[in-house]
Amino acid sequence: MDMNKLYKAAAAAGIAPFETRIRKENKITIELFNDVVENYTVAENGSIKVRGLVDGKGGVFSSDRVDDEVIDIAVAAVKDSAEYGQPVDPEFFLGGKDLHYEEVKTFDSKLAEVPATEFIALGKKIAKSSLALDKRIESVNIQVEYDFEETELKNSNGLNVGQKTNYVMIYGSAKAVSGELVESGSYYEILSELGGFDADGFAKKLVADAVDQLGGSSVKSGKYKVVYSPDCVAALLTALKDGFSAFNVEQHISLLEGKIGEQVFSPLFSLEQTPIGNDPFCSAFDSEGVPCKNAMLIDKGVPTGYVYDLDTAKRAGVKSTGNGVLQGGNVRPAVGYTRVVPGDKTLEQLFEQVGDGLYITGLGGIGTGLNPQSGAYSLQASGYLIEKGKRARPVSLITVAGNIMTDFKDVIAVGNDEKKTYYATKTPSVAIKDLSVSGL
Amino acid sequence: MDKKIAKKVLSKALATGADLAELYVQDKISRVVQLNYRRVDNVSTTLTYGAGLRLMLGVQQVYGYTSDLSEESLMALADKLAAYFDGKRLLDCGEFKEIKNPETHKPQKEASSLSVADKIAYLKKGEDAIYAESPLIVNATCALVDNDEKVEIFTVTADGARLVRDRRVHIRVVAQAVAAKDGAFEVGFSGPGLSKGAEYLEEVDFVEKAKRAAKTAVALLDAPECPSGVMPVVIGNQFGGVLFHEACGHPLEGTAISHNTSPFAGKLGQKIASDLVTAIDDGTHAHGWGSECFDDEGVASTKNVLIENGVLKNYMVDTFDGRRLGMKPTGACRRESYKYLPTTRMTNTYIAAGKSTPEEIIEATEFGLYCVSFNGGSVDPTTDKFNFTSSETYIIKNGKIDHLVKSPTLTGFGYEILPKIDMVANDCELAAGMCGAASGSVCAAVGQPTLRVSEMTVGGKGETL
Repeated sequence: MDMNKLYKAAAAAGIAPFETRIRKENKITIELFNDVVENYTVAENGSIKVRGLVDGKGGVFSSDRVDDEVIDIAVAAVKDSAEYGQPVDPEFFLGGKDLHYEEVKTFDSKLAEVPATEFIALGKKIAKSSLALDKRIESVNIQVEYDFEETELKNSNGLNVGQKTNYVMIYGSAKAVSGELVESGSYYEILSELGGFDADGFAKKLVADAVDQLGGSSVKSGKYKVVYSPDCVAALLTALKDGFSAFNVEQHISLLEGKIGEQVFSPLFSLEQTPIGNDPFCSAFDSEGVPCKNAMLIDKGVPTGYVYDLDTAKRAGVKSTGNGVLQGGNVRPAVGYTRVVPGDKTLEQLFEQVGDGLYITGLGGIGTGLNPQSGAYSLQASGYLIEKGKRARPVSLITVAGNIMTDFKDVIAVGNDEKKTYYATKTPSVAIKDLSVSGL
Repeated sequence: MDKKIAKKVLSKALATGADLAELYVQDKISRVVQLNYRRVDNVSTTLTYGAGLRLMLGVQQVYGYTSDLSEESLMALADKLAAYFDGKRLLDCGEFKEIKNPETHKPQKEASSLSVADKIAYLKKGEDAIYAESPLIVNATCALVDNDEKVEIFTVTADGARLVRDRRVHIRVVAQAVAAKDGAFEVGFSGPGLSKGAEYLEEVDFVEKAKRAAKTAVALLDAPECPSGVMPVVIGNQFGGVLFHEACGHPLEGTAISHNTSPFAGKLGQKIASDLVTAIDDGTHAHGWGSECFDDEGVASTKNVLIENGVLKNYMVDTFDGRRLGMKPTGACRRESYKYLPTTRMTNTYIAAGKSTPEEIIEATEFGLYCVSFNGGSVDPTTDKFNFTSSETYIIKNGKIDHLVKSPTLTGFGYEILPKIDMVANDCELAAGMCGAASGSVCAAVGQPTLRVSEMTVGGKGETL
């Protein structure tokens, strides 16, 4: 697409300021069934999102088609959208001057050079290793995906920022069979570089997740002390993150409204937003081009403040925290990449502290069973009993019911087993007390 | 797509011995108008436009996609994919034979004929109805989404070269109410939709749906917690069909069956459900939310009887998984967009009507749960372990609906639940949903009559029974 032509067409149509967000993506995906490549996918793709003001009101348009034929469509769609759009302050389209971005390292040039054959070999190695580890493993699916993304954010006021990100995600699932018993397991890792990746270690964790769950059964209903695995903690935190949005606070739909500065959660629980760093989820700027910064969201159990985009910040008389996210047709504040500050206990020490309880490693139905407005949840769960401070038999067919506000108030210990999860949160395991468990 | 370009691309892709080549071209426009936070919150248009090229050789497939539909870009993609195989050409690309489209789901009135102002006025009535329901309503979201998608699928196999063109239109209205009291929030939702045009807006009583969503949200605020334990569960019609969708539909998809990662693999002809259960996946249902004249690999949609009187009759099969299974495709190979490798998915999947009435089922239940509707759920196809969350739930006592309770989660194994369906009513209806799986999020209708499962595991926060 001829960008000059697009900007000129927008200006001629009275769209000012005008913003473009161009995204280019390369992807290689290899899917193996056992150690045979079944699907191999390559992609080179692009997309454009444009935003602009017409008579002070905001309009948007997005398209995968990025050629000159879209220019007229885009301009017409922005005008149509803006006719009913919300008033947006023109100063929210930042100029490029006086903006200082911290460095993020989200692109690894060596990773970009890795040929597809190496990803295939890696997948085969994991598959073979998994199948060889335990004869109860009947089949495995291994997916190795390389993603590259380049984003460029520009506007007619002079903003021009960009970022390149690449990473590899390896995902495995396994089916374990023992007599009449059938169980599935899964494991994944998100990698910024391939150096140091332990294929055999990956296979061990994948196989253990399936085999160790064989024969899992329910437990007696009641209140239990629970250790949530990193993936479970991250899944539950998705709802808590929404509570920090200053927009949600304005709309009185935030769990954290009126709770800033109060000891709402356990002093053992701290949550930091970490957009600046070396992980693939990091970003130096938000959707409005505002520099991102690392900041504590919950410091020893005390929420420290809400997150803002330019619009909510102006209304609140504060500065944007660099949390503007373009959602649908609007920029709204949202928390991105976060980290639960790890404790100093190993997983085994968490079990010892709990004594008797449950170690929950799987939560099902997060999308429907967790109410983001109330924080209440009732979810299918699986994992293990903890007996006398040790991990014991597998547990299945139970539901856990709680509320994230009380869960994170009831934290009794935080582990040191940090994991980078695909919920855009890096977190260790967390132990909490008094969770309602429905079983037998 | 110019047929000459398609022919050149497929011909190049077949150079190294693939035994099937397919070029899928998608051009879709999606329009959203949404009222939220007491204002017009979103008026936006999205174009989804690109192509996916797929090659098969035996039980291996390679796939590539791009949003650059120039000949140069597509030829480069064909080259890249062909390089994966190293054999000799098996097939040439002849002239495409275009398959006639029956246009079963053609809209009567184009959605594009509606102005944004028309849509806002329509939604506003729903929004007003929600806020009018109670001062406890803190937010109303009313949205109208319409999609107009055109696909072209060029396929070359040993049987020749064919071209399928299909147009899919969808329209859906959504009403969501959030009620709050003493720091607690509850949500009510309704989201009906069909493969229709603007005429659908006159057919659906949106204001009534919006009111119902608001009533549910408000009533849930004061509802006691649901008890937990094992008990009989009566499941309502329409979106109650998510039970079958999760517990049985996904494990009957070809992907799970062909890899032996489903408890129903190898069980054709066997009894897997109670005699009362007949289950169907019907992509031909006129104007159904999940209907299409052809699936995303150009195979005509079918009415596929999966279970008949409790006996497993068929699976949902696509071309690729059919190769492992030695079965023909059933016209249910789907994908969200050109960015996804297509695979077997459900279309409109439902349990057929029985002979009881819904009232008879309630009367015959001394104690249990009545789950009117659901938020959705998920299933592990390997183990068939499922979960779904009820959004409107009542306790049944002494054969009568007694009181509303807060949302519980129902869990279990599909293969254990199906034989426990002991009453099926005569009020089968379908409802719109979005199903997310390997090939993305696709429009899928679920449905069933009111039915009873003699016992299910219920996870609630109330007392343990």
